[in-house]
Amino acid sequence: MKMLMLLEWRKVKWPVLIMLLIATAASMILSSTLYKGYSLEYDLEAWEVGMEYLNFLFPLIAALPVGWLMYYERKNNFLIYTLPRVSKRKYLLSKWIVLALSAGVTMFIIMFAGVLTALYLKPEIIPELVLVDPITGELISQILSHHFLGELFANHPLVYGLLLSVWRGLLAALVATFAFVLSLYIENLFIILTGPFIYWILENFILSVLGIPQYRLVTAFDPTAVSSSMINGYSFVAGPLLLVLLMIFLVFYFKRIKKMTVYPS
Amino acid sequence: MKAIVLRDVRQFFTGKILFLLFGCFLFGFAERQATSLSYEQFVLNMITEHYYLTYFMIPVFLLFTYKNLEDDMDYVLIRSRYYWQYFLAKASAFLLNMIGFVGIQFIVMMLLGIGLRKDNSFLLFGGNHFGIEELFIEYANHFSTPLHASIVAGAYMIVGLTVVSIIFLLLHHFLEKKVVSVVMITIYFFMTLGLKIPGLNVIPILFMDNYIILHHNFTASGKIVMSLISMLIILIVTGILVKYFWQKRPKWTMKFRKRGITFYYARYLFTKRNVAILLAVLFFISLWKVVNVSFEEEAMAGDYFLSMFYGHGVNEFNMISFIEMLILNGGPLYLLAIFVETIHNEQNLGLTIRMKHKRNWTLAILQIAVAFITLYVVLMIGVGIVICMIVNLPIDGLTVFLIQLSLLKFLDVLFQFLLFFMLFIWKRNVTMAFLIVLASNAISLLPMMWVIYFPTGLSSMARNTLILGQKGITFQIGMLILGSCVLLQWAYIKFHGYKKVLGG
Repeated sequence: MKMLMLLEWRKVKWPVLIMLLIATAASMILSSTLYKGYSLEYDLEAWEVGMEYLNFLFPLIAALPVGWLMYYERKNNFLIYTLPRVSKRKYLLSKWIVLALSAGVTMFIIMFAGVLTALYLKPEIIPELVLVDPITGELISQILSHHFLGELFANHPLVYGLLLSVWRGLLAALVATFAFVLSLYIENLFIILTGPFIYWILENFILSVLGIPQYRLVTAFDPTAVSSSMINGYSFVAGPLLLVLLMIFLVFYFKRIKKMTVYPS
Repeated sequence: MKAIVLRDVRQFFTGKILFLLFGCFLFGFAERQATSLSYEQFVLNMITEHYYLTYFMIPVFLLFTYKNLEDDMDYVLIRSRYYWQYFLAKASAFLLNMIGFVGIQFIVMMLLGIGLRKDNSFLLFGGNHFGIEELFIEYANHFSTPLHASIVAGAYMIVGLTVVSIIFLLLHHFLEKKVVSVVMITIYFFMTLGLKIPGLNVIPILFMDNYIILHHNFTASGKIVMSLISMLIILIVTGILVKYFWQKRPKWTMKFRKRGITFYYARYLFTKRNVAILLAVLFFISLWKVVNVSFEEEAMAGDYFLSMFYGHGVNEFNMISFIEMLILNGGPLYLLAIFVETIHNEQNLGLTIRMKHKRNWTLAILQIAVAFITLYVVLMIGVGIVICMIVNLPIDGLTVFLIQLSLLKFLDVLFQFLLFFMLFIWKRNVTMAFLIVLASNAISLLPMMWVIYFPTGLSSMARNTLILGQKGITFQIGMLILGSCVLLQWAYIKFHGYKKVLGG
């Protein structure tokens, strides 16, 4: 198993590392430049501001470097030659682990590099308070009262950033899994690579139009995408759960209804 | 003869008639709740109710008739001495069916009306008679009592429905059943169109509601005579065709030659699934738009189209409308990209040799892409018109606007496709090409003024003078920019780019 995983890692190594380098550089640059046009209160906000574009591209970052792996092995029938050497289940499992792990770790590193940049590398922000307390008339922090997990965000930004980065890594692993599921059955590389992104756009649009933006995958990924009063525990579960259900449905559809097989038959 | 008639009637009055009963009852019951009409007036009102007839009864009638059309069975045909006898039996069966069909509705309405006061006159008392008043004035001009009027209207309906079903019977004899269904849907669509757009109804023969609904003939003097005469002509023509030409089959001399690489590829792209995807996207977004628009005061179809083609403005960022623009413009592009990826995968030597020239390959793809984008734009406008008609948004004087909108949208999507295709030719990587084209949509977010002229997403009304006023771009400028870009791209692909496809 260990050898198998090492083997898979060698296949995806370069695309993952290249994506990691580019996106980490982008994340650090964005977190240390974009915030200048905003009036902010805390250092970590620079990270939030900087990540907006990367957040939008997150399914691509997760799926592009790893999604092609299965496709080519199915296309050129390499899979057949693995049959006498290793069980199907073991081979696919090790592939999936490497794939999800590399996508997750990549996303985590990208995000956490942004957090570190925002907190320690860039010059400190001079807080600008704009919100007025209606009772005392003093300026108060907008973050503490309106931000998602405001206390944690203000007082322990590193913990907040770490937690969110880990969570985003998990979601990236999930999205990479989606690309993997697609690549198990679909013979069109384009759909495999952009499928997660298209799903992300469509789901985002449809749920917004239906008036439940708090249950989008976007919200699970970035809880500040909607106002903090709308966020609840389900916001983090609903989006990923929907994706998992879709994956289960797809596997069921391809396997039972379309009677397709992963290995050439 | 008798056996055929009996058999047809039996086939018509099966369990499906319950559906008619149910709909009829539901509708009548809803009207009965709040009515202040007398018994006779209620029956007349129900049997001539415009919405009930056009949106429930006629579709149900078409459905039932379609179900009843069946291929002539040999052992049935063989027992009729002449074909016209067989046809006559079928036609009379339809007459009986229609008597039953209308009779059932009459009975339901009469039963529902029990308990209302008796008053066999056209005088209306109290309550709100929106729409009914005009109708009754029309009927009062021609008939002395409502009872009389409803009987004549019912009889007219029976005759009209029979004539229409005979038309379908005739078509079914000469054409395939699939074609008949297309004709049915087209005729129905024409009918609804004719009801919505005033002035279109000047040629009454083409619109079947004139044959079925009596009071639609009251709009002009002499129209009823025209309808009756055209019904008679239809019957005579049918009689002649059935009597003397029943064994003939129409032959299409202009046979479309479905050959060559273009048609081979067209089968990949013009699949039911792809069209369904496009329709689903369009319906979803249109419904959302129309719900938003109909909240406004005095909503017009123009407002709906404006919001449907709104797109995304420049120098700003609105997540929802940006995504909506990506979906609306990117939908056909995505399908085209999948198509290009598929045929790129399948490219083999045999195909290349048979094509003789690389240019043919590019040309075929471009032709199909243009056809596909045209289909998309037509669907977009079509879905819009249908939805506007369903929710009753006034749709007058929009022709020029719609043509401008569709031209701009067509050029915009075509530009993006050609951009995609050029990138594809360059690196032969569909994913990269598609993502770059999507990313080019984001250029309009840049904080610079010139991006308003950037061709990607130029079909957005948010950049148009209609929304932005002086600062916006006019339709003419937009078409000029997009048109020249498309021409340049086309020229590049045609004279230079094609050399690079197929690993050259």
